[in-house]
Amino acid sequence: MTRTASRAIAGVTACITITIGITLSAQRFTSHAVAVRVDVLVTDGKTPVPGLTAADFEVRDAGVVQNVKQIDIEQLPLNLVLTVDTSQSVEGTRMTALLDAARRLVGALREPDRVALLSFSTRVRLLSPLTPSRPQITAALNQLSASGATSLRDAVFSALALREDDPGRTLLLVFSDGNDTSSWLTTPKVMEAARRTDAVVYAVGIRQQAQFTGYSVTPLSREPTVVTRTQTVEEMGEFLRKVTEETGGRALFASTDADLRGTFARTLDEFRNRYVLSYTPTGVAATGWHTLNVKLKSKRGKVTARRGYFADLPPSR
Amino acid sequence: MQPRAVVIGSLAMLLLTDPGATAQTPSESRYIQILERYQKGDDDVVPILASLDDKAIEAGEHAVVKAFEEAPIPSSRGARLLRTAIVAHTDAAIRGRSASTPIPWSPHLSTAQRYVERLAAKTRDDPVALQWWLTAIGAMHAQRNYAQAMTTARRARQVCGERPEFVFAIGVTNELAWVWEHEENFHSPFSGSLDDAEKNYAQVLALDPALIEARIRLGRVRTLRGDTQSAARTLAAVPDSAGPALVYLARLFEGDALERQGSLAEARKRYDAAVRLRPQGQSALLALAYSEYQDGARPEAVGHVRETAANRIAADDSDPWFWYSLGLAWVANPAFAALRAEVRK
Repeated sequence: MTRTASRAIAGVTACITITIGITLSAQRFTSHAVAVRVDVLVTDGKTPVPGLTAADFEVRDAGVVQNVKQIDIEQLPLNLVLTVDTSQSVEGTRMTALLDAARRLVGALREPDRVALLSFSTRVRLLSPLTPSRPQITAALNQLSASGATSLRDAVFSALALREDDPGRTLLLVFSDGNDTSSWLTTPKVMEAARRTDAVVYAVGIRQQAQFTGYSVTPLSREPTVVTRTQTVEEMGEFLRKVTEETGGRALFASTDADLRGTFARTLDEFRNRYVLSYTPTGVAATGWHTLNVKLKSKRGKVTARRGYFADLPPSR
Repeated sequence: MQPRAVVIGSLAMLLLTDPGATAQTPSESRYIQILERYQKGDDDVVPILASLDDKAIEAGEHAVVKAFEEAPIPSSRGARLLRTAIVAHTDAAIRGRSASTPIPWSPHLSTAQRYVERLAAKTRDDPVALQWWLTAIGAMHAQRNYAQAMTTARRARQVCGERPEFVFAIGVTNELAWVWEHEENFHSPFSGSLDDAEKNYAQVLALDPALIEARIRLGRVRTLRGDTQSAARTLAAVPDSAGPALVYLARLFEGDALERQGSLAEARKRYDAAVRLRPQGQSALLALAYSEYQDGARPEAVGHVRETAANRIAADDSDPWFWYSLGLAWVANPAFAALRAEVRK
């Protein structure tokens, strides 16, 4: 493969597995140029629907129906990028519950699966790169401690960028119990980055209600009015909801700290019950944004998949 | 009889400690003792002060104000007591603020403000009064209570005059409230205004051209308003002599303004310059990484993300962006420490 071709490969989004001979000057994909992989969840209520085949799905790339194949999910190792909020609000029993949930999740992975651990408070810290080593991840989890603000968007972008190009499926599991307070990157920017990856983002939050009580007074009066505001963390997770929808993942909410373990386990279970479809795009533009539309031909079920993908030109430099 | 001896003894004590004072009620006396102990460095009295009911505080306040009005010169006992009351009540408010309470404006801050206004009515430039306003606004910024911060900043300007630090505080409140509402999608009673913030910063610079942070914030606000060319010019004019933290912010924001114009290569040069000034600056490294990622330069982007994320020892304040985004909150703690030191001299 030539250097130019390699650059082109890097330029095309990660959600496309490149073969060879891509002609970027062409305005339309030539046959056999690339293979696009789409990670799909089908649910009936809250339960994943098993037993579907490629023939059950219709995939439209920019409105054009494609010829899809199904990839056996068992053949694909899982890369789990665990991205956890360690801001001040997680301190105490929540951190204990988080550690317990994370350890059990790691324990439920299969042998070829790999895990990375990224923590975020004010700063984003990579505590372990992707590794198959369970002791390494356990040691990294043991380093977690809570303090500081919440750079949620910076952390999600970092996790997306650190996703490695390999044949495995990447699950980016983000745990956060609050809203962003210190990121540099904006929501539109991180959403844009999310469109350029095939990682599926699942978010876990806490649904429990937080009650804020304070005083509202006129500066010169001595009579305070007690103000009580109730806000659910679910309401605060708008960014997470957007990024999960964009990548075809889901936002799940634990009812309590103690329920975190079950919610993490449900995430993994759901991810393992998805379908991976693949096709070589035909009849569509070679570059730019491709809207994806995945639906079931005749069977019942709610389909969740990424909204599209970017096919880039090579870097301008 | 023993009880009578105690009463006579207490009265004698009061007369000895304050020969000019008239007899105080037990509530007033207790309140004054709390302030005197606080003045001497005894922090254990703060919870006692915090536990006083409205009536006790009202009585104490009456005694302090009376002592101050009798001799309102800065060195008088009354003036010292009043300054101590400002700081002690602020201390009670800050300590009483729990992590889950986003509204810090408690009755103790309200009491402190009444004292501040008494003090400022006599001496507009009293350092305790001036510092107090900035401490209180900073505490409100920390809690994202921008509505109260704006009320307080406007009142500070009304009471102490058109000082650049108060106009600056108004500008920062306008800017942060706008960002919170429009970029973070949080709705609050006060949603800020970029137009007003821009006017505020321009006014600050007219009053004090040496206030570099106002110039940087002016550039940032112009970027947020979409006037990226004017923003880039304003930020490029920030001199290197401003120090690495402020120049870091100027280069970071200039890069953002250029990126929004579509000048990616120029933007990256500015981000690079910021990284050179503060190698632990997460914001500039991620700005650089994002720009590379979007341009398809994945290995370079990953390299810069790793560079910041692999750093496990960098402190939060190693990135000036973190304190910038908190407004005056970053200065609230040191400002309050300075207030405590001032009244305990």
